[in-house]
Amino acid sequence: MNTPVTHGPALTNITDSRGPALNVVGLRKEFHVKRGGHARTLVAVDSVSIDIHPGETVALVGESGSGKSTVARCIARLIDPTQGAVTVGGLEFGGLTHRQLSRAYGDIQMVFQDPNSSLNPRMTVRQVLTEPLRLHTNADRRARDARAAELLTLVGLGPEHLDRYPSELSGGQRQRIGIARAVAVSPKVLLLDEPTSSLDVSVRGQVLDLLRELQDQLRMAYLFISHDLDVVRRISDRVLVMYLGGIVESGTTEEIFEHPRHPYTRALLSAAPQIDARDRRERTRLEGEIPSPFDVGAGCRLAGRCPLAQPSCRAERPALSPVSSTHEVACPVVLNDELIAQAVVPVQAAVPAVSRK
Amino acid sequence: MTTSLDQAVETIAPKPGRLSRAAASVPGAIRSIRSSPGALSAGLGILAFMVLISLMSVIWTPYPPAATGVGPVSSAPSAAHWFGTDSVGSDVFSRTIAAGRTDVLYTVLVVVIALVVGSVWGALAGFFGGWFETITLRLLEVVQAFPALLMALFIITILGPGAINVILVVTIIPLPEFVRLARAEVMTKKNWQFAEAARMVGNRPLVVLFKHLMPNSWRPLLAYASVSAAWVCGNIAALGFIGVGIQPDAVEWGSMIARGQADVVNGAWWESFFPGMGVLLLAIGCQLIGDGIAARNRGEQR
Amino acid sequence: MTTAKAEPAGREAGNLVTVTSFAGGFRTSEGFKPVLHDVSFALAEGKMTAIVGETGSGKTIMALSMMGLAPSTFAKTGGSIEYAGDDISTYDDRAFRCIRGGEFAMVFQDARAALNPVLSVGKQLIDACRAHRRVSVAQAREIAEEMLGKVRVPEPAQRMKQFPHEFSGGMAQRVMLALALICQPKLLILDEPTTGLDVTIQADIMELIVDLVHSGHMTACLITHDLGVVAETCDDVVVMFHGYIKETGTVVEVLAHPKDNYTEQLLRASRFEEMPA
Repeated sequence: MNTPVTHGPALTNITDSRGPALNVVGLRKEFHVKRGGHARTLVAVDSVSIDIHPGETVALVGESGSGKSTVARCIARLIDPTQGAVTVGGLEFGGLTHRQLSRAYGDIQMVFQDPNSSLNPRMTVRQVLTEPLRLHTNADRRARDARAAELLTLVGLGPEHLDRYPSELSGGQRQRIGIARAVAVSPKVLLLDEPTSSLDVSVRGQVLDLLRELQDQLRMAYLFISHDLDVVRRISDRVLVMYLGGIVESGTTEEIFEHPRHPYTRALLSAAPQIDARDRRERTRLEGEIPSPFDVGAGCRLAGRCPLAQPSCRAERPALSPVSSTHEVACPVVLNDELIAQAVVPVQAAVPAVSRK
Repeated sequence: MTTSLDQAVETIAPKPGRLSRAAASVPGAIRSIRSSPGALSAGLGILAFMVLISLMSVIWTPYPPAATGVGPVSSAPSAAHWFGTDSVGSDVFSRTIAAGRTDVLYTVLVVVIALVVGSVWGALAGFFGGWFETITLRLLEVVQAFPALLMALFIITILGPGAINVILVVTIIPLPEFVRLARAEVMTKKNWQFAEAARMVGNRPLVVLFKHLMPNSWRPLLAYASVSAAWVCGNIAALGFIGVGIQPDAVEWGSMIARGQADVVNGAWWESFFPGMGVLLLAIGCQLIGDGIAARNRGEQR
Repeated sequence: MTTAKAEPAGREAGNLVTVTSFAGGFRTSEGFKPVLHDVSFALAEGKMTAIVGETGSGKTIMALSMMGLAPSTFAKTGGSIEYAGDDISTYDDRAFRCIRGGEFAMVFQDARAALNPVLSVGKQLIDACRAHRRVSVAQAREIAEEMLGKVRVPEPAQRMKQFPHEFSGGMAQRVMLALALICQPKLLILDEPTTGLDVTIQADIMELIVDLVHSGHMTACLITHDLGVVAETCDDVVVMFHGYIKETGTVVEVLAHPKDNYTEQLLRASRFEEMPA
């Protein structure tokens, strides 16, 4: 890069490269809605704490209603959290004014799920890529254009795309532009909300490789949100499993995939369809459907559906307890029962689908 | 694509003949004209024609529009007076095209003001919500509860006649709909990912609203603008007809229609007919533009 | 999954629907755009066949053509779709209506959008039932309740009175399944039935469908891009790419020994394996 790109006047920013790039403590988001005439509170996110270090990828996994997308939007302050402290690269996010926040977005960026709707259809690729540069750097027009071309090369596209509109690009290309936009000002933290879910499987691998390369180059911390467990396994260092707003299990990727403890984690892993029989697991079944988030009782959120539910489960909500130095589970039942822990290793023999009853 | 392939397709699976089907019924024919892409061009053509004629009238009219007694009183259209003369001997043709200036100009003015004010208001209400939105909605409900013309009459009776008052009052009529449309568009789109992305790139919220959201929301607003123009021109003429318009006996179609009203009974149809045609033509032109835009939007949404 | 019998797909006897050299495309303002080229495959009776492909493969338009639901801008340029001795690709809408619903049924991707929002679920089921079977209203209600139970909707009697928007995504999908099944169709086509559903619900619904196919002697055709689902639930598979058939065969065969390059690429990508340069 020829012209040095300087950042605008920075806020007091203690960049501690040893500490976490993203630090979230006790994040909570409540929505107040009127249901049938009464005002009710929906707790979308309940006491979520996450730590991500530079160069690390932490995955947030869960189904609908888990709150994972809300967590991302609360971290980014696209929605304001009800409670909780979010620190990005040492900078407290919560107290910033809107103007300061706009500045602070130079350090934290987001890659969105749907490449079709996350790019402004009326902006050319050039405009999309130079906008963050214009807002966060002092670079002049020519420097910005040069950087835009660089970014395109970075994500594997050529400069011929600069003056095209999103409608002229394929889904995979659009997603690459979204990624290029996000890394334009070298953020410390990247929030990725289902970045490969809308892509064809043949393009998925390339985009994941690209993300990993960029992470290595720029030492970014990734919060990777996905419901696709195969992808998560591929790209993350640690995994947090969410259910109805709370984290039910957290650990390294290997711990979660090889030794899942929480019944929900096991249900999730066993339900994912696998091409190869050897990857299939004995199905852990949950009864019924995901309940309405209004109807979550006082005890464990899974109590109504859990195969291991005890009376004590409905009484008190379990906290995350350590299984190892890196592995935590919010389920007193599995922690007490060693038998269950032994049966956790996935079934090795081929399990024909028809016997999955 | 080779034409031979197209021909091959046509022989295997010919398109049903659209015009042949439609011509079978008059409503069908009207519908198919209105929804064809030619509607836009036709409407624009009409509007352009009217603007041109009106502009020409600034430079030249056969007779001075305001002058009385330039010809025999209430004479039929003839070589000397193409549209005839009215009850005070003014040339109807000159007056009609001169009045075009007023009506077309005011119509455009009203629509533009309503569009701009309404869009901004609605966008802000939709984007920020809260008490501003609630007050806006209540205000809209109150205004839209009244029959438009009646309300306009009432207000102008209080304010008195005059150009500015007419513009003000006629703007109030389509304004609520613009506010609603803009609000709806912004409410729908503000949760789309490109709006979130625009915020995350570092734009301040107002910038996101006006630079990213609004430019993507113009279609329904423009479509409504063209349709409402037809009503606006009708309303302006109506106020003029009733006599509370720009000023009594102004060179304006509504007033002209009113003036010629008494003579229709005596068979002097031309005094009210031609200004009436002016209003009609302007309305049709605007309507066609609106239909053309709507057809375009539909076509592109596929 | 019938892993034991490795029967070749397209065995002449026992094919419910045979597609032969089917081709077609869309009429656009820029001329004719072909989207299907020489598509040939068969849906074996009593089995579940998957049509696999990515965006633009033509799998959805193929399925819609089999149901006679292709949009008016689509025109067939050749080939046939044979069912019960007739070429149904030549049928007009009226002829199709005789087989649609009663013999052919389809479950669409977005369940809630496909259900009528102003009619209760029960009414829709009863109407569908009575349209194809000669039963009274009371009998139809019973059948509808039973069907809801079969698709594992809890408290069917109560749910019958509810409206589509009161159902979650997974439930709505099950209602659509019930709607499709209530007329005891011979062929059930499912277009990406589990996209957008949670993985646990996905697994439940697919299990249900496999169950119904194997016990009800129904033939099913699953349109999907997810090879995992194909591997676990289907008997035969057809791989499509940009309107061409790349490979057909039993699931076991094709997934273990893909003969076509594209199939192999797809498998590698799904398994996150390195692609050869």
